[in-house]
Amino acid sequence: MKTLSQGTIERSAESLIKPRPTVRTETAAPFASSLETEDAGASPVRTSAAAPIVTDHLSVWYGRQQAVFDISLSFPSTGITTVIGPSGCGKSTLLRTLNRIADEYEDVRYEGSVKINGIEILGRKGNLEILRSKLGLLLQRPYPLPMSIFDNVAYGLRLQGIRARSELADRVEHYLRICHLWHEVEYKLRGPTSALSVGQQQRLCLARGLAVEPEMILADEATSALDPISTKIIEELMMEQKERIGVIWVTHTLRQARRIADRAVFLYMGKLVEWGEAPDFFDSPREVLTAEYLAGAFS
Amino acid sequence: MSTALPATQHNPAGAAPLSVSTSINCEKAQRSSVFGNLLRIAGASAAVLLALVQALLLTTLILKAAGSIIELGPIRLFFSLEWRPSRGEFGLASFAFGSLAVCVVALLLAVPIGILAATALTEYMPEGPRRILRSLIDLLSGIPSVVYGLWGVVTVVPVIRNLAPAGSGVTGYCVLAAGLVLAVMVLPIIIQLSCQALDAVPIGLREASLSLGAQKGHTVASVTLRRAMPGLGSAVLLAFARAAGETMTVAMVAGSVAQIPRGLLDPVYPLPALIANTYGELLSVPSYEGAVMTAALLLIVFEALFIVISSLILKRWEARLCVQ
Amino acid sequence: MRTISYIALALVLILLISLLWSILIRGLPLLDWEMLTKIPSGGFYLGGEGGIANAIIGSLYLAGGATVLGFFLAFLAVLWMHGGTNRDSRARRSFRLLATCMSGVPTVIYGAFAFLVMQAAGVRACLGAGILAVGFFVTPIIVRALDEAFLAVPNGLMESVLGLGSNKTRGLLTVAARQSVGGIVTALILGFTRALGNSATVLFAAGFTDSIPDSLSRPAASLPLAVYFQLSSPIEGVRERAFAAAAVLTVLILILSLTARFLERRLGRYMIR
Repeated sequence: MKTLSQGTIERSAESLIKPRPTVRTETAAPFASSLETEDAGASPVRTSAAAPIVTDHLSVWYGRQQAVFDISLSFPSTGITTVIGPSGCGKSTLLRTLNRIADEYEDVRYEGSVKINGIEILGRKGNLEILRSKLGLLLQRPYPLPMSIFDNVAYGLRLQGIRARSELADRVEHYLRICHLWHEVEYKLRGPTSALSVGQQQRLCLARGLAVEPEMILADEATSALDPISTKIIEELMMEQKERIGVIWVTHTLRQARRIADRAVFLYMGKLVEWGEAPDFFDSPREVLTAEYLAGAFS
Repeated sequence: MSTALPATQHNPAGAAPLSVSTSINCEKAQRSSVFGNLLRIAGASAAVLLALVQALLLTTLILKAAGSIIELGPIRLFFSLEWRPSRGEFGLASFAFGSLAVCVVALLLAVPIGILAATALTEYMPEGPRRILRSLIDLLSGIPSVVYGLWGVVTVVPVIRNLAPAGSGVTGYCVLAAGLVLAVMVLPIIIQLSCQALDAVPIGLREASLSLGAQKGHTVASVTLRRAMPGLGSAVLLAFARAAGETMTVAMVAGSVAQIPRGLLDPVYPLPALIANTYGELLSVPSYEGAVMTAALLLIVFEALFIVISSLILKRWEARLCVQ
Repeated sequence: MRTISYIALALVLILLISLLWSILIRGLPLLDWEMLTKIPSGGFYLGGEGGIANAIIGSLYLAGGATVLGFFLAFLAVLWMHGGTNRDSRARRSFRLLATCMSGVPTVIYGAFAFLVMQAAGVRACLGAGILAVGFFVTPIIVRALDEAFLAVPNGLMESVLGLGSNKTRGLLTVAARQSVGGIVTALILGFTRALGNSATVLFAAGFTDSIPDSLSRPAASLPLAVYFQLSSPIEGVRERAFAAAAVLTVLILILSLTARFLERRLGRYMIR
């Protein structure tokens, strides 16, 4: 089922904002033929250098409630992969499983496998700190640390053992510049973060996360609490960074997904429905459910 | 200065294996997690220690009390009114009754006044004075029991003595005095907790009632207070627990006469006062200690029972009241 | 409804203010240099000269020692609660319940228990025993206050810190503690004021004396007991000491509570809301 008319309207509105950069790492093969190479039953998993995060039949339970059902996916190391779906469909759980933040909840149980750089992470009891520092986390509400702006960005650096003041200062400035925040805060670096607007705080959180040089960024509805201008700035930042760092971007805003996605994954009620390359995913989805969701039949 | 940075740990073509600097971090992470584990073990030990102390406290009291229950027989120990340690007669009935009487008086006085005062603070008072008064009451809740006892001796007892008919033998040290002083002591607690309970009532409920045309007073009485009942109930509970356990205050103003009071103006000897006052004499008479420990146990049991039963009732109440 | 509420409020205020007034009006004028720095002479019950230095110093030792012990234990336990157990885990909830029950145990019970233990160990009433007994009394109170402080830290903050690659303990100590520093200081001061006001436990554990204890094995006077024992003396000078002690106690606690509030606001400069 094609959703051409809706798609066309959406896209012409989109083009008023900013044209999406057409960077592709694979050829633009027609959607259907790329699917033929995938076996319907087996998991489309390749533990290659291009896909550092790979899940294989992953299921997650909170106590007796199952939040994620048998998901097999691979997330490439560059580009933006958006994870979309109605609320409660397990997007956040999936994200939190990838860096094991879900462990904080009582009675959390995992089945299946999640491999990062080829290393299985689900069985590990040992320190997860290295793993987590490789996956930057950006949450829905900005959570600046209760310290000065400078110390926020420097926190991760200090964790990695960088103590020299001049080096810290250089790096902090570098990452603040990347996030287009330097000129707004350079005179209040030692001040509290409450002096910043919500959008600026989220950018600060991004700078803080980038400072530990993650390999991927996990973003959970990172712009839903922000005004449109801040949202746009963060989206642009993601686009700037995605050549270096892969992004897994969870969102419930379809328009945003269309804007920034290189790939998309659709989850429904904890199950993987469909995944594919944008814009083909949005223009001609394979599953009926996906098409209905994209058309706005439910949200 | 800002753009020239050392090479990043990964390259865009794909994920590289963990590089050298990360392995250094690995070591650092190991070291700090050793510290973390140590701290966690220390913390768990602290928690276990506290639990053990509590368990030890209970068992010791139970054992000592059991000794005297067996020796004196439960009926005589719990229900006899005679307390003559030198003769080996230990009856806790009058003390238990004294405790109960004083608590009841205290709660009868403190609960209505406290809840109404909390209502004034949360529903009627404007923001500025409200904050000042609530801070004031919070401050006053830290005043220790001796100071209340002193106030009782200096102010309350003489007033009662003067108001009583001359020649009636009323000293002023009585149930009323103790109840009154205890009431004032638990008032700040009741007000604090009631304010919290009232604050927790969703604004939407009040708005709904008012928009139906109800007057403010009616809204407060029928809707807000009713919705806050479980919270208010637990405020009362905590106040009761505090009042029942208070030692100094009642020791100073209750009169320390082991009898069942015939009226509010009679002296009485609540359980905590008994335990405190017999300090120093406990070693001289055999079985004295056991009997006093039984008193202590009785105190705990009463409190625990009351709290448990009331919590159950409160839970049922809450289930019936709250629609959501 | 409005009228009776206001009447009740007025009544409460009148009662509480009258209480403060009656204590302070009689006690504050008595606080001269001699009262504050000298110990009672001729026995605390019958000797009319001297002051309440024994009670002041004794109280500070007792409450200070108890609070240090209590805070140490409580902080470790709360670190375990929030770092070593998962959210909503049974261990965490049970311990929380235990702390709530323990903080409801009347002080006199702790005193009675201390008495039994001391008797069995052959130890007489002394400062050390007082510090231990009051310490165990005050620990659950501090545990609950610290627990509340840490609970107020938003989950997302800890998640963000973990996401940066910090381990749980470091995250708690550097971030959660900094976010709730106001609550931590309040818990500390709260513990101290409760320890200061404790009378029934110190009665059994620390005893009472005229002198200032010079070691942990000597008995210690305390302000609440100074009031209790000296109030009923036939000597006017002794009775005055009771009032002086009450005044010092009250003023001390009020000042500490105000300081706690003030600090909570000042320390919250970097706190996120």
